Amino acid sequence: MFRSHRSLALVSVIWALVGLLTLAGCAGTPVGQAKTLEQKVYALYGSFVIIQEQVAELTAEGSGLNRDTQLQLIRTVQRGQPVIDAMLDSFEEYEKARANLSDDESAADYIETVTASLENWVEQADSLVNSLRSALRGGNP
Amino acid sequence: MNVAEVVALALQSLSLLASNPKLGGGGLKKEEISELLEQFAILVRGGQKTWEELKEFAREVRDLADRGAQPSPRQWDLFRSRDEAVRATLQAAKERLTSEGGEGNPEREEGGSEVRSSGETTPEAPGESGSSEENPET
Repeated sequence: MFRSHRSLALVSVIWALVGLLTLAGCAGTPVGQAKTLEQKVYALYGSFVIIQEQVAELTAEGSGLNRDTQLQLIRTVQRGQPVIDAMLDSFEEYEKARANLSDDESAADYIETVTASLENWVEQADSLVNSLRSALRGGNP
Repeated sequence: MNVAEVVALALQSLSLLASNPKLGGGGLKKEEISELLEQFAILVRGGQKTWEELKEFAREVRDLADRGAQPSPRQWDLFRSRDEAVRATLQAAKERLTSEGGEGNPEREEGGSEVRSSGETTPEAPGESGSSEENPET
């Protein structure tokens, strides 16, 4: 066992995430390919699910990673979940509002409001990855 | 940055780590360094697999964008069911790892969030916080 197991686990996680995110950046991110708001939500959600699945694989029994590294990886993705959930909730509201379109002026205002809210959540979900990367650069996962 | 560069940087950091007592190294034994290298190798392989999957998914999104189409309900459902399954898997893994750590584990109360179906998450409104690294549950 390492004398400073936690610090080594931390460095391992930092590199894991730098690696994951750098490689993800190389792919030409899914959200970068999206043109509409719906496509962006879908791209961000799918990317997040894919990253979660990879972390699940890395933290499965017998993965070979040490315990502290596995726990750090799980916590990192779980911390992002509420932002993704809020984006999806906002998207649901947006879809409902669009489905109930009417000529009413207040309906138009409502659509405008839910669209703005969704755009905000999309932006926040998108910046989740970037802020994580910045935090990692500062050595503060 | 490609995989080789990531590996090279990982190795550089390993050398630094192994030689610097302030970073927890300095007294690393050969077998410890080899264990750490193995950890890096697992992580880099995982990173590469994610990259491949994201690349494939980016193609799917680009195809949608090129056709001016929206994701179908089937595409959404597929990710929703994958999401639900993976969150349960992660939570189970977290509980297993935490219990393996025994009593007095200081990490026990950190991080985590309820699954989406609980409907109890209360994330911050957009723009209220510049950091997504804070635990939204607290």
